[in-house]
Amino acid sequence: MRTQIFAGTLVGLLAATVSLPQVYAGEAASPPPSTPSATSPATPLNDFRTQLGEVKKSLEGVNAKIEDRAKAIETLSKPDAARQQVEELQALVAQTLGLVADNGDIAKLGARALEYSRGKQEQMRKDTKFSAAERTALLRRWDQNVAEMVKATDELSKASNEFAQLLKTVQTRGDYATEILEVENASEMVKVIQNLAGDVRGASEALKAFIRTLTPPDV
Amino acid sequence: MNPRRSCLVILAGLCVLFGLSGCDWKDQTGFVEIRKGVSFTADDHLILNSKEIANIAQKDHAIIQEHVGTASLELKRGEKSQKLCDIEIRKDRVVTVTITYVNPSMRCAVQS
Repeated sequence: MRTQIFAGTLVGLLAATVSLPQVYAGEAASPPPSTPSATSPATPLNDFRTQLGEVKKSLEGVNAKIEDRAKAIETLSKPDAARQQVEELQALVAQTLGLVADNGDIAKLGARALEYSRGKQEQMRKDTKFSAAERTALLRRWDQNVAEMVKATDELSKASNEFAQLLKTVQTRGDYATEILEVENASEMVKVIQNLAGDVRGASEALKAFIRTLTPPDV
Repeated sequence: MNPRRSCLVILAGLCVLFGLSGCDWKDQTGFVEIRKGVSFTADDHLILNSKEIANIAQKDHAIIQEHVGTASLELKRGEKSQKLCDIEIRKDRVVTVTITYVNPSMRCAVQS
């Protein structure tokens, strides 16, 4: 009997531990959904809007850090420090990409919110409860909402693509620098990494412009 | 060793194991970029490490965060399942997988 109880505890602990990654990723990627006010009912749309706003803020913050890191790389002169900076930059970009990945919390929330909006759109099309004028007005709002949701989820997808390209640039330059180091040309390796700083700053400017267009949908 | 003590030992072992590595989940991931060079039907489902990639039929690419290690990419079409490739996922890196048709079946090219 005791063994069964302990086995049960073990299974419970395992289940909790197995779910940890999702919780951990969720905490990192997004804060808890906002508490709905009296005028805005709790819907997947509110959750998505709030979290997309938070993600946008995180992206802006991280982009500033990427720029700082790029500046620091430009001043490097030692191979060890250069390699460490590239690894840190890679980790930073990877962390950001995790926020907007297709299997991340925000993308899942977006899909749920879009499904919800489409459901409401369909409901209004079939509605018989409201007057024709009311139905038309509501349907128009839901049509607009669906369009905004589609735009927001597309933007998220573009963001993940942009960050993936940036991460690829960083990792490839890092790999090249490692190869150079392997053939024992430390000064050339530092030069390669310093050039990477230019690429990253260029990408960062493009990302900044892109992040400005990332608009949480109106609810 | 009595059953209670052995369970406690296992429990402690798991706590240490997951305490050290489980909580580091975020630090031990990389990314798979999936690019579609072919169009999918509504019946086609891409499965990465037993998890379906959502709405892949409607997208031309997807970025998936996954644990480091070897991941398996499968195509499920109706009841049939076909393994496309194994992918080595490394920490904080992107590996690009391009799915194309090589007559008569789908294949994937992996670039890390």
